[in-house]
Amino acid sequence: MGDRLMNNNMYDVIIVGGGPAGLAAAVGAVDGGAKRVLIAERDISLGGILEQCIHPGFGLKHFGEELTGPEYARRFIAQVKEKGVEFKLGTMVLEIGDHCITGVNSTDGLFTAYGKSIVLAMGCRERTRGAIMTPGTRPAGVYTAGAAQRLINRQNTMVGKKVVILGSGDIGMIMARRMTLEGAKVLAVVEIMDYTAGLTRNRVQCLEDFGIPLMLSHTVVQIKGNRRVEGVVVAAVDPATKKPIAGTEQTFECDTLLLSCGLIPENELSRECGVALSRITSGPEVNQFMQTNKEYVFACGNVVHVNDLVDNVTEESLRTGRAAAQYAAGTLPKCDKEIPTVPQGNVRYICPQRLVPNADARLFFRAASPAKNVTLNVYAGENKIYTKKLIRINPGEMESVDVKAEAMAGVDSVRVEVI
Amino acid sequence: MEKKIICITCPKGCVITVNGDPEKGTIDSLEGNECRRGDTYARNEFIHPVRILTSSVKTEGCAAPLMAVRTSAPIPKELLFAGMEEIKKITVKAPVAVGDVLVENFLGTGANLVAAGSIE
Repeated sequence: MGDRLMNNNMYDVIIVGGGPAGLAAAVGAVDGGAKRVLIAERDISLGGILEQCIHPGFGLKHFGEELTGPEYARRFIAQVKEKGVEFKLGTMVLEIGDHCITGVNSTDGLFTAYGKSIVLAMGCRERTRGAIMTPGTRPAGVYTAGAAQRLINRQNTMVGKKVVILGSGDIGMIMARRMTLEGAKVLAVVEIMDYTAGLTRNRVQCLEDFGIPLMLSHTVVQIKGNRRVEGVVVAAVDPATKKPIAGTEQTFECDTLLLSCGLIPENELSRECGVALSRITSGPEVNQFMQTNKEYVFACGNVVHVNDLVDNVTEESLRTGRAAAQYAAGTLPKCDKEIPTVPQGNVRYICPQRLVPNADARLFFRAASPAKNVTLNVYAGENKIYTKKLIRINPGEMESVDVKAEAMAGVDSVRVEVI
Repeated sequence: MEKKIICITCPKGCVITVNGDPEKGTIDSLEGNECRRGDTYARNEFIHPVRILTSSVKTEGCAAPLMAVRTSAPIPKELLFAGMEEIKKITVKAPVAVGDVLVENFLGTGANLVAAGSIE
């Protein structure tokens, strides 16, 4: 049939991004019955950020063994290839239109591909110096932790010898260890909050193992140096206002400052195509099928909300891929009236933000502040449907709870509360 | 002696209290772990701490300048820097597949140094 040739840019599911979320979504889509699946990836290889995350700690939950990032990625790259998923590398998606993407690469030039479903899996990017407004000059030697990680782990370029790290996010702590192993001296990890932003295990194995000082309730108030960083000034902050306290300044002589100050979901494409974004997560608002307000557009992974574990991204993205395949086939459960999820007490946000009440759901949520010996309550309407004591809760570690469809029948909201 | 150990096996970060004599390698009591992995971790950590070492090695015959490597099992913590010195000396030629053994019995630890990435 001539149609076949003409239709070679028609897909069941198109996935934007070939990192851990996009790869798992592709696997999920094929498993869910999609015949033609396309991944469009900006980088020259699949795997996304995992390629530069050469440290161990991935896969404990999903595979039950401890893998490095490249190993974890290869398990999914192998599956994607085996399942016949098509992919375009070195490809920048410029726009998402009505059931289609417009992209550009050096083989196809400018092209349009049509998909019955589209999955957003663009991931996130790092907050930069501009985003946190650190005063001082603008010398060489100021990097985001992830940029330094790529330079050192993939491009064979060492970024400095004496280092201060601002922010105790996981990437910052992991880079503190990595740079120490590569012969640099890490003088301090400076954190404005009174707790570490990243996982406890990283504080132990990346900082305490190597005797790297962690300065909580401190921040960098000045960067010194003209051509190259010559030092940074660190001051204590008032724990309540986060304002630097005069007279507490100390100068660290260093040639490098790494920033590990949080991640922002990368949603330019989503916003331009009319996907509604959450003001709290900066990612698309979704239901339990990871379906956005545009019903053929799905989203998964760090583009939705920043995860601490790739295993959670994988689990969420497998589900997303399956749902996108179901949507393409016209079999995804629907309902006219979705109900909202509402965070209460010490819960900062819940993802998904909306629920289709006639289908089971897994709710992911994060605490607003660290706490010990708290109670988690889940309410469907006014009924308490779940309660559990938690020994501790930490904003750096995502929590989850499952809600059954039966519990949601006839209620107007599902609330998650930590008190 | 008593030692509080934060388990790093998974993100839960259980605080495990161990009583015993690390010199003699004896453990009298161990509590606070929520799983069996925690038990193994805390025992090792109390008597002889071990870590997986990961880094990268230089490549030949491919576009990527580096390839990720790891020890196949955790090695004694005090050997991490010696391990880095060994890894610096290694150059690998493409192709290498993930899991290929690069150095057997790395530093006499019984663990192998293996490819964590791949090059073509």
